[in-house]
Amino acid sequence: MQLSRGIKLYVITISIILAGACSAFAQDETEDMGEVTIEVKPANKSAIFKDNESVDYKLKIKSTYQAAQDGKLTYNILTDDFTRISTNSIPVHLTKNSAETYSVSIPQKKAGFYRVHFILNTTTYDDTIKRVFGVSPEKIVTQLHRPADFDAFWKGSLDTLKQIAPNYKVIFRKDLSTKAKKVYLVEMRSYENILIRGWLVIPTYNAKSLPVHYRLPGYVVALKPNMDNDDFIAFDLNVRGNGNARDEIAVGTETYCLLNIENRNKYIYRGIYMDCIRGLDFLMSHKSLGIDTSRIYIEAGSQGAALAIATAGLDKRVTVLTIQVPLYADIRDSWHISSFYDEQVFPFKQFRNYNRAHPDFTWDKFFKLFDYFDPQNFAPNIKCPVLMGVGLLDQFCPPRCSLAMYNHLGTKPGEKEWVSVPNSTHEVNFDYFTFQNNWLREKFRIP
Amino acid sequence: MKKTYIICLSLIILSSAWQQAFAGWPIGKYRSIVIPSFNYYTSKDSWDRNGTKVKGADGSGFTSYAIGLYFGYGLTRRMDLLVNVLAPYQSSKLVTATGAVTPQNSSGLGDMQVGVSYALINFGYKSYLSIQASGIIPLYKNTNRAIALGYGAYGGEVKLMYAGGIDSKLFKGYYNLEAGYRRFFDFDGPNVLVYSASVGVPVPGRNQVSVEVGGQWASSNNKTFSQNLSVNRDFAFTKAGLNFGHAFTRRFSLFANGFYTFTGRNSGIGYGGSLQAIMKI
Repeated sequence: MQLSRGIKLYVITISIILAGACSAFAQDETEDMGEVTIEVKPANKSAIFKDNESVDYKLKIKSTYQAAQDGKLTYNILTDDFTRISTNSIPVHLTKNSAETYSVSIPQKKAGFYRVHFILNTTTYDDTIKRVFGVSPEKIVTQLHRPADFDAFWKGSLDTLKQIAPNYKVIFRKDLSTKAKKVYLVEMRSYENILIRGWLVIPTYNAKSLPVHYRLPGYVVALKPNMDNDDFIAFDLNVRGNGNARDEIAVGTETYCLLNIENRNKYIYRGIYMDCIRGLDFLMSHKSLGIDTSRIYIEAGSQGAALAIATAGLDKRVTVLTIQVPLYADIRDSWHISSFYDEQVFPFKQFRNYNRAHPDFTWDKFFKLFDYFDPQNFAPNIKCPVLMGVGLLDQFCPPRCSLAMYNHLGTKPGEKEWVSVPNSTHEVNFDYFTFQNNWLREKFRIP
Repeated sequence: MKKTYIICLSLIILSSAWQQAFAGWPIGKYRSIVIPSFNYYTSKDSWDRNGTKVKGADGSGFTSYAIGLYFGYGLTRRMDLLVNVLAPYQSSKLVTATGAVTPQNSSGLGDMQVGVSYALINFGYKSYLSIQASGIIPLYKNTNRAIALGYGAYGGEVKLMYAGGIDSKLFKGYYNLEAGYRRFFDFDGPNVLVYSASVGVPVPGRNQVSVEVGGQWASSNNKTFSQNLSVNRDFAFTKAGLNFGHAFTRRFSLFANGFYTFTGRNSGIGYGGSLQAIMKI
């Protein structure tokens, strides 16, 4: 009986201690588990505004803290090259576990791209959200630094390419083919007699004569057979040094864009641009495979977009162009903007490394060379319809530079379009690709 | 004389057949869609004004065959021009008080619907909320016809459509929801609410199967009920349908559809079907 009472007392005591401990723990946990989330919504979904309207945002700030949150929301407006234009703030008050929406209105701005940094400082929470918005980007004007012998240089390159026998090989790959698609490995000789390869995928359904989706690779990216296309013949070309075209050039991402950079005649992109033309030659000479040579559209992103622009600028056989985040566009402004980054990123990380290691190769020399390869300088020659996608947070290809190139396109105003993807960096989103698909169907009258 | 006509309603039922094959997605700028169709409907029994089933007299009945032509053209990315015409041939067998069976028939162009649809909002290009406004033009006069080819009145319709694709792990397919208001500019109207909901799934081999439930609810000052359903303007019915489609090419598909009107008021109890050739140009 005495023992039983003792056990009961012991159990009760332990229970009280545990309950107290749990209660204390729960209290601590509640305090620690709060958070503040900030949802930033531009008045225009695309975050693109006109130069005669204010730039408006709504910020929904939600707190799950049990304690009220007091503080301020500061918003700094900067140019895209990080020059501060203005700083403003508004008081923030959030009761426990609540949400409030705050409106921010930024006065009209001149054409360009701007950074807006929303800085939230409250009782127990600090955060910064960085966004970019555009103002009348179609009014951005840049000076072309097109060398006087630009056309002659590229005509010479094309003439040299014509001297190279392509020796096309089209090898049926039964192992990769399906009931719906026939896959072919394609080989050909290109500029400097370098061997390049590509993948040709021909739908067996509806395949009398189909337009071509000609895809060019990103920076040292291996393109594989594109099996997702029912309405186009897919041709994916691996230019020299990419994917399965690394027999003669096989370098990594750190050096690829630097190969022979001090000599415009030998610079790797001269050969790469010619590889893209050779790919076009291949398509035009293989009508018998069901290729509709009057409907060839090039699609590419990043480095591929630069290649696509150069190809369409040099060759009128390109019917339609769709590009995303075009690398190297407006190279001089891209260099300028990137010089303000806290941390260097591709491609100027590589170019700056080279510049440090080779101080004799000055930036002036760099620009004199790169003016032959800057997509912006090919843009005026392009007359075909163009669709471009831009990620506003892109550091590799600053939006200003992409739009500068876009504004130099020789395409008629109604035939070119661009799409802003506000929260993307060096990429676009699924919605863009769905729109691109619709856009292509419109251009090619495909149901 | 006891008549068992089901006329206007049959045309109303048939005129919406194309929707099963091509729902509320924009056609796309510069592109066209042409849908010739053959439609069939037959009915013997009916529902009275209280929704009570009325058995048709022996030997009586109504049958309609209609050739339809739908044309759509993408004026812009959001706006389509739509034209829909039916040319019905319909026959009925009446049973008189003496028990004699009297066959009657009529044929000709029916109502033409002309309008535009406009995609108000797209949700990531996966689903669309659209509005459609159209006018109804009768291409006939009912005078001296044994069986009316319609109300013989001009009308208008406004309709909201919400269509989209479903691409989840559990289900891949599409849906289409529609609700609208139709008014015939006649003394007795009627005012008609139209509605439908359909869900479809792709089936291997470039096929698709969909189910649809839809109907109409019409109200009019004229509440009288007649066995001659063509004069009834205060009616309702709901039908359920099953559709099967096969895409022969990207541009050419065939759809077959069967339906049954399973509930109603002042309307016929019937079933029917259609065959539609969808040509995308």
